Amino acid sequence: MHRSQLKYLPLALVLTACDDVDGHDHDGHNHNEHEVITTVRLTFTPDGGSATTFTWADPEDDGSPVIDDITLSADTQYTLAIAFLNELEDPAEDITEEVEDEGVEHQVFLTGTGVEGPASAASPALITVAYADQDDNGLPLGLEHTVSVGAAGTGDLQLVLAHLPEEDGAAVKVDGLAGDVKSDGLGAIPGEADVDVTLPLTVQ
Amino acid sequence: MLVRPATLRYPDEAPPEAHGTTRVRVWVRPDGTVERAEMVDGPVGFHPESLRAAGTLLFEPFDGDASRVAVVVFHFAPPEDAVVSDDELEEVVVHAGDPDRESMASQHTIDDEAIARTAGLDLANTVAKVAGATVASGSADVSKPILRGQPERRLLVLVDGVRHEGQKWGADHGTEVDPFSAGAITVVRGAAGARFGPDAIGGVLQVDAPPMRDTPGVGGRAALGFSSNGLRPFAALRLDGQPAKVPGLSLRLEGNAAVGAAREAPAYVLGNTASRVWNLGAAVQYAWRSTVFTVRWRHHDLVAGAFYGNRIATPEGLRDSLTRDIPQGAENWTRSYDIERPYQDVEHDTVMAKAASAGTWGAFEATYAFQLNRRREFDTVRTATGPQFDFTLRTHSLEASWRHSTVHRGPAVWAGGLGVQGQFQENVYDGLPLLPNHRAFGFGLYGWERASLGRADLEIAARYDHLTRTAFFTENDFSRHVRRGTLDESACDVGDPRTRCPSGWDTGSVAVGALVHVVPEHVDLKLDLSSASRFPSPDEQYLIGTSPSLPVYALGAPDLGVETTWGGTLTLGMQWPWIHTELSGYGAFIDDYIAFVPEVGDDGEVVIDVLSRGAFPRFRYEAVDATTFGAEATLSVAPDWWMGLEARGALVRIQPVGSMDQIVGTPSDRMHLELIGRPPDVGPSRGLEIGVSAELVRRQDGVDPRQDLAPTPEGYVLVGARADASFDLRGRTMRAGIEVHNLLNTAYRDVTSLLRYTADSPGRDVRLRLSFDF
Repeated sequence: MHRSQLKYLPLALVLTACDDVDGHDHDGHNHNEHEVITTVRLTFTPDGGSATTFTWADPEDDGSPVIDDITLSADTQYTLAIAFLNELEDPAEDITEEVEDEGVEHQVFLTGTGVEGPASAASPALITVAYADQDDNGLPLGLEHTVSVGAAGTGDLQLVLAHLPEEDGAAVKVDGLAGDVKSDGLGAIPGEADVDVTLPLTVQ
Repeated sequence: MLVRPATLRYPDEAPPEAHGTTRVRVWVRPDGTVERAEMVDGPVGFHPESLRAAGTLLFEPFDGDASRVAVVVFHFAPPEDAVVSDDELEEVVVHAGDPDRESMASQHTIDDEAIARTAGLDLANTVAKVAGATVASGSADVSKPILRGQPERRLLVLVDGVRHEGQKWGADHGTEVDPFSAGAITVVRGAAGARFGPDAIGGVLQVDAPPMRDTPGVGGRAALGFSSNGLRPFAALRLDGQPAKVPGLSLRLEGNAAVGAAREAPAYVLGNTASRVWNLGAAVQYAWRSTVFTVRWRHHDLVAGAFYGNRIATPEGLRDSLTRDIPQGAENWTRSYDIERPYQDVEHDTVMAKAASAGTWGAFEATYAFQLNRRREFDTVRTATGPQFDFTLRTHSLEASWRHSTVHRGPAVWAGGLGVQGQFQENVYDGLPLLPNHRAFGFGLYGWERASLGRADLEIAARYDHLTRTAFFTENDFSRHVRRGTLDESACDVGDPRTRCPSGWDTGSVAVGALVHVVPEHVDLKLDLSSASRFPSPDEQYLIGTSPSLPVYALGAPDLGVETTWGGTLTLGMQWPWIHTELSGYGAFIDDYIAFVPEVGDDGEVVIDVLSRGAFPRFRYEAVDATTFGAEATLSVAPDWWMGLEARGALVRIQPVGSMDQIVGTPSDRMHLELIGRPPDVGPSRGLEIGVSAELVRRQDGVDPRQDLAPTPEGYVLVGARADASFDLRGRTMRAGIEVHNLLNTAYRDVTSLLRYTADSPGRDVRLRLSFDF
């Protein structure tokens, strides 16, 4: 190549640039489906009372969450409904229905220093929880719980949504996983944690 | 020692008045005749005559069954300059020897025959038989090479002279190069930036295609293989043709494929480690007068499952896995060929066109290449059908080099040249928050000169490189960086739909080398003083998010500078009939070594980031000054006797300046010993070898446990065995071999394996192979 031609090399290469690198991508978002969960909503409804919602939210999914204090009334029975959202999308995408549809591969575990229940053995516990729903195989799912609140105090509630897809054709979600968590911790169960959040818990 | 020289004829097609020097690599049989010959370099117009003449050489016979390799040098001059007669010249063998011994660097070439013996293995495992090279195994059936302790991001891989460009930053991203399509793989150990360009911090892997067929007819190689661990069959075919009616035209078609089931550790199946890989390639070469044109295409395709046990999403899960003898859920895993999520699907295409010409003015080469690398990673999801990490990397490159004619000035023979290289690259990413799109333009200018003075050679090389990179962020990704403080808004051009953040670097590299034939043909001493640089990779600049491979929250550093190493290698080589050995010692200072380290807060504890998927320790890329030193050795005792011993070993230290702790990922000290028996030939068999080996690996106990996620694994010893033989079938060569890796099915974990946190490495593997040259 003649020396005088070399100066055109960068120009020739740049002319091949494609606009999928820096150009419009329709909405400024990535397009592949990545099923991120940024927000967890816990809605506590007392018997005969009105619902109260507490939220763990990291809408930018960058590790700067806003975490509500769960505050419950002592000696009260609640039902707990749990919802999962992806607020990276606009409008926010509700993931809860996906989890419910694939209930045979998901399970919610409630643990923490203030929780006693199928997956947790805190003592003394601020609240006692129990599964109130099932998947298609009759195993607990955990999008709904019953909650019995005891005496006043403070602690925390850890909520884990485990994704338990089949491995080599065998079901990973089996009976007794909550018991495994209770006895050996969350590391004792297979699968992945789609959600693992902790919220302060106060009973007054 | 040469017994019968050749008679050279000055080729009619050579340019008028052309002088030239060619180098030809010849394989010499024990009876002294030449088995085959291939060009190393020299003006193209003299190639055919050089190959013909090389084939007529006769060397002094020697003991043993295996062929030996030598390089012969021919000088061509026009008939009027002839010494002997008007049209015939007596050749001059200036120096005969191993090209690895002629290099200033510490290097080892894996030849065509050795590559055939590793058929079915990937590039990293193929070069792992070289002292100083180790393997970084992934969680899938993929691996990456390590040289002198430096991972692939600090290595340069050249395929047919073209820089291989893939997503090599990922711990689970294997090198997309098919070693079976190579005719030679040269492993250059140590910094080599001046000779090869950026990234050659730890060394260079040069993968070169076998020479194209130069005689009319059709030939090639067929190979079959099977690995018991993973029940993995392998088949390959290479066809070379040269039509008699079109002199100068050569054609090649080649391909191979392997399908593997999930592999097995000694006590359990490694669930979801099945893989499918295939490669296809074609080449056309046309020689016209003193110019050769080559067009080549290669395609690599891999689908590989990621080990179920590595789906550890939280530090708590990692801690639990370290307490287990058997990974969670292993009882369900089967030796299945099915590939489930998570898995990776990788394609790499390379198209290159090359022109090489020679004349009285020297030799000129120009190469254009386009590479398209597509990597898609499919994570475990609920309803999605597409990938969660989707990378497309497009690379255009153009290189032109000129080599002046070899000249005699004073007491020396001078060889050298100049070159320029340009590269344009675009990366498009779609998926979970991880990396921005980016576009880069780089170029390099280089030159080298070598003086051969009888018993000594001196070489000097220098190179300048520049890289400009612009990252393009979506609004969400840019905001995330700004909130984290990793990007300054004023340093970027905030725009819609994407914000542009530019960066650029310049660097220079030099090399000075000396080679002394202390005892010609027997003892060589060489000193290589070299530098090399590496521009920060995009993940080191802009990574933000949980790592797909490790349960940490990772942050890049956009203002990183160029990483540069300055070092030297002293190599002593000895070749005596009863002992061949090479010993290298090296040391280097690495300025602004880019390390991936945990971020420690004011309280002395690692900073934790709370995400919706749990609490993760924060790791960050940062530049630290580091030193590295070590040694490699190879030894072959009685290489031509009925029983011999071969050994190779390496140790490496990489540590921050002011610390005795090794940087995480520094390989263990290791040694490989093999006792080889060579019984006499029986029937049509030739060169039967039976070997029993031991791989001794010491525990890497130099790493500060606070810098890693888990304690380093224990040392181990692996026992192996093999038998190889060739068979002469009507003038064709068939090779057969069996090799047992990890014969005793020992459970072990490697410090450089991604499996090490969760599972043992694969256990016993019986590998069968059969190849036929036709």
